[in-house]
Amino acid sequence: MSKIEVMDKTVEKVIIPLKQHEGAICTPLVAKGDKVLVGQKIGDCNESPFCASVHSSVAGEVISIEEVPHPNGKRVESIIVQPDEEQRSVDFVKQDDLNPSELIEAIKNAGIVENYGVPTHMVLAPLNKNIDTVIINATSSEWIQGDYSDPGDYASSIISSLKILMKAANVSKGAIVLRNDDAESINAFERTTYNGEHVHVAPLVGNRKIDYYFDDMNTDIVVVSQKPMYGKSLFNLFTERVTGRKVSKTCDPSDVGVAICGLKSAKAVHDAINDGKPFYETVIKVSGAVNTPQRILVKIGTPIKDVIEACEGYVGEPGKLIVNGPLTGTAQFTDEVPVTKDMISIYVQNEEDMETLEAIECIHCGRCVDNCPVDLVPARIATLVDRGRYDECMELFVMNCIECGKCSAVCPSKRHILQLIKYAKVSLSRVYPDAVKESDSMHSSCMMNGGQ
Amino acid sequence: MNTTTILIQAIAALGGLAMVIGIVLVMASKVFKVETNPLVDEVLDVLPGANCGACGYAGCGEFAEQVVEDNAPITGCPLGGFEVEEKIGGILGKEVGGEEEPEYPIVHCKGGTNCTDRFNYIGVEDCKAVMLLSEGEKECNYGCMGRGTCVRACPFGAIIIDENKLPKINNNLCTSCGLCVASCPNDLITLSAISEKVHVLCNSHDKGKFVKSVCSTGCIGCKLCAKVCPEDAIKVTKFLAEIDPEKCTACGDCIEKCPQNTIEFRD
Repeated sequence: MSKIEVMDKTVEKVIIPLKQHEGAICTPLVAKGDKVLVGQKIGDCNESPFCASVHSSVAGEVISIEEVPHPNGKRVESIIVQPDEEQRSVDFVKQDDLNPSELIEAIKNAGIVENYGVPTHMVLAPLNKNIDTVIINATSSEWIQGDYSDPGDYASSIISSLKILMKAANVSKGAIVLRNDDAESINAFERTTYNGEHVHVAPLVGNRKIDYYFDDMNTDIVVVSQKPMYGKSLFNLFTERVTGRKVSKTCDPSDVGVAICGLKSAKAVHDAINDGKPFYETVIKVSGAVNTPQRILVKIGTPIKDVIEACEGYVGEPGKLIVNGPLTGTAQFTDEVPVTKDMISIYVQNEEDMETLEAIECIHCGRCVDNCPVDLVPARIATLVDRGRYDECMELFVMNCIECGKCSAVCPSKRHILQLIKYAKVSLSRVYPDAVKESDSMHSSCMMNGGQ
Repeated sequence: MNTTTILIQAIAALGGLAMVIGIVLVMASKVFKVETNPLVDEVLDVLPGANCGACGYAGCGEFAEQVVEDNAPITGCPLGGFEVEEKIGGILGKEVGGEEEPEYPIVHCKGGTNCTDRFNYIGVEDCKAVMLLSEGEKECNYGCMGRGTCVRACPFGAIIIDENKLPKINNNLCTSCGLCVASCPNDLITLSAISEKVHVLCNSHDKGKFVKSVCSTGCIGCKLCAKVCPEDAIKVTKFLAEIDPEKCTACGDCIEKCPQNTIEFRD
């Protein structure tokens, strides 16, 4: 595992969007001309629970509060801070002995957001649902946040963050899921101990799901490994593989009592509770046409161009800048957009690597059908959307698309299938307020499938 | 068996069959007769028959039924206009109002190629699909994207995208149905009577400095038009001039004064 570089250069200005999560936008707590410190809360939530606070990642002066480009493509109200020479931070207070509801409040106040945009406190304590198992999904390769001298430290800190997450969700079962080809992480966990016993990384095979290992090992925390799985939004399938509980198409893991957290947010919760440090820095993977592709720890709000500069600049003339992966990510029209909490990676393409072919007609090769992880017929749906026949798309379960982007990537005609599907989903959700539920042919209730 | 017998037998068999089926059909049409209001057919005859849906019903047939049942107003067909209204009024014995002036759509944007792009867009050719990715490829968030959603919305082929990447409306083909107005994601198209001659062809509420930097024909909110107007018909709200059609006398002073050439006489 390559070491994570730390970006410590002071940048010209830091742009902190007031909305870096799904849900309501925060209201600014500072005004133009105010001095802020590292870790100071500068944007707070209103009543809406679907919200995460925003903190300053640098110390300096607020030079303006205005709408600037955001990586999601929209203009979002952001606080622009000009860093000072001296980076003073607020006093981080360690928070001990909190009860579950205080922990949830502390996580909300620390502004922790999952990598798919949902605030972590909403994952741990969803409205009107009971959680009984917390899973840390460590199958993705966004490894660790921060600098560990020893892989064992990494493993034990993940275990201790799982304990915090379990306490916050008020549950007695927790699991860490690794990838079975990620030998480094498996070794790191096998070296640690929990409750005086060596941790054993158990493989998920056949009917041996995590519930089997909870009974077998007589413990409240298990570490398991499973086959690599593509698609960060494929949670329903992930839940079924790990817990054996079926989640029907229109429901989400919380309906069967499972909360899934990412590695980044788990580490952020650990820092927030043990050190009192809010979520203001994150690890970004920079790859493609840059001089030193690397994983780099950056402060949230750093403009992308400064992150690229820390990677020693572009190779040649940059053609395309994609945030969060080449398949599902968003291409940026400027490198002035800031790093946000849900950002995982930055991918740079050269002018000559870019494909700018016109989309032509579908040749019915069926590659998109072969590659669709949720068994849809993307080509047919895309054609219907193109004709404006949205209701027929709904009959083909367009709302179940997880927007992984594989269909567009494999299409030999270069059709913009993903964009058409996204367009259909937006149009349908405007007409039918509960389009996801209506597209379910079974009209089944989520709670039927072994829910709480 | 000779040819004549075969012929007679065949004619007799088929003729008999035809007779039996004929009787059955006549019986069926008597027994299963559906009572329809003859007025519906009469109204349907005078409707344009384009099935455009601009009335809000599934087609001319449904509109005819609804108008006979008094669920829809006789003015409901925007396509037929006064002529059809008069005819329907005659059939149903309803009072017909005065003739209204026909309204034609106006596109409130002169940007097109005059407005700078933020990025190269390669994707689905549709304004609403462009809107999914950021707020469109144009620097101006209010302007026309020229991807032709209105062109596809128009059932009469009255809109084309011209060489400036802006929609152009052919008033001879236009039937004032208003489908283009509903289709525009930036709400740039409005219907206005032909007597309203002067229009501000911009929809941008951005600050003047920003508009000037991205678009050579956008309204910068300089208020020169408001000052020069002898009738006091122009108001500038949020960096955008608005003309009050009641007061405007189409003198053309504002058109001459406008530094960005945003205000124009309609074609």
